[in-house]
Amino acid sequence: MKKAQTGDFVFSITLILMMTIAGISLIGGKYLFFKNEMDYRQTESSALNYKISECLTKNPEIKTEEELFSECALAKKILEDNFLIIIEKNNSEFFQIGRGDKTRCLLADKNENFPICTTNTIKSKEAEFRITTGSYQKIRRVATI
Amino acid sequence: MEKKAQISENLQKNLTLIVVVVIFASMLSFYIADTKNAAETWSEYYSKEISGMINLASPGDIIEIEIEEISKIARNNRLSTLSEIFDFNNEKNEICIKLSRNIKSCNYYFNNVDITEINPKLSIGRNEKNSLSFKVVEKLK
Repeated sequence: MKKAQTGDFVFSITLILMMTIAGISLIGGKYLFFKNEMDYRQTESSALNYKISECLTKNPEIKTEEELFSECALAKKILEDNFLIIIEKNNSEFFQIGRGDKTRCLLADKNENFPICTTNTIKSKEAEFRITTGSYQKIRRVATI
Repeated sequence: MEKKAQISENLQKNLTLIVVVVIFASMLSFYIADTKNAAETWSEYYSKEISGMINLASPGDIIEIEIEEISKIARNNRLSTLSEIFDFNNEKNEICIKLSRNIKSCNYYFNNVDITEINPKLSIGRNEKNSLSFKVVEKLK
C-alpha cells in the first residue's frame, strides 16, 4: 500500500516536472523565434529629420520650442518620450528635445536602447541649421482581454 | 468499504491532476495563440507602416491601403469585424492593430494631426480587395 502511494507521488512529481519543461521550452522557443522585432527607428528618425528640415526651410525665423512644435505640427509629448531632436544654429546649440545626446547616437550599434539617428544640414541666407534626430521607439504589445 | 474509499481517493487524485493539466494547457494556449498565422508579426508591421504614413502626411490627405492579407488573418483568429482591427487614438497620437483576440501592437506617430473618416471596406467581387481609408486633418484643440 505504501509502495503504491509512493509510486503515485513520484508519478505526480514527474508529471509536474514534464509540464514545467514543456512550458519553458514552448515559451523559450516562441521568445527566441519572435524576439527580434522589425527595427523602424532609422526610418522614423529620417522621417522626423525630413519634416523638421522642410519646416525650418519654410520658416527660418522660428525662435522658440513652442513655435517649432506649432509651425511644424509636431506632438510634443510623443517627441519628449520617444525621440531625440538636437538643432544647432550657426554651430551653437539651438534646441534639444527628448532624452539622450549625440554620443548615444554614435553608439547606437553597441546598445539597442540607444537611439538611431539621422543628421542633416540646411543653409539659408540668415543661418545654417544642423538637425540631428533620433528614434527610440519600439513596438508596444498590449494585452486585450 | 475500504475498496470504495480507496477508489474515491484515487479518483480525487486523478481528477486533481487532470484539472492541473487542463489549466496549464489553457495558459500555454493563451500565451502562444497570437502567433497563429503570424498575427503578431503582421500587426507590428502594419502599425509601424501606418504610423510612418501618418508622420509624412499633411492635413487634407486621404490615405487608402489594402488590407486583404490582414483581414484574412483577423478572420481566421475569430475577429468578427474589420473595424475591430484598427484603433486610432487621436488623444495619444497612437495607432494600434489587433489581429488576434489577445494582443494588439501599438505605435506612436509624431505628426500632430487627427485621423478621421476611418472607413474599412469589404471587397465586392473577385478583382477588388479589402481596403482601409482614413483622412488626416489638423489637430482639434
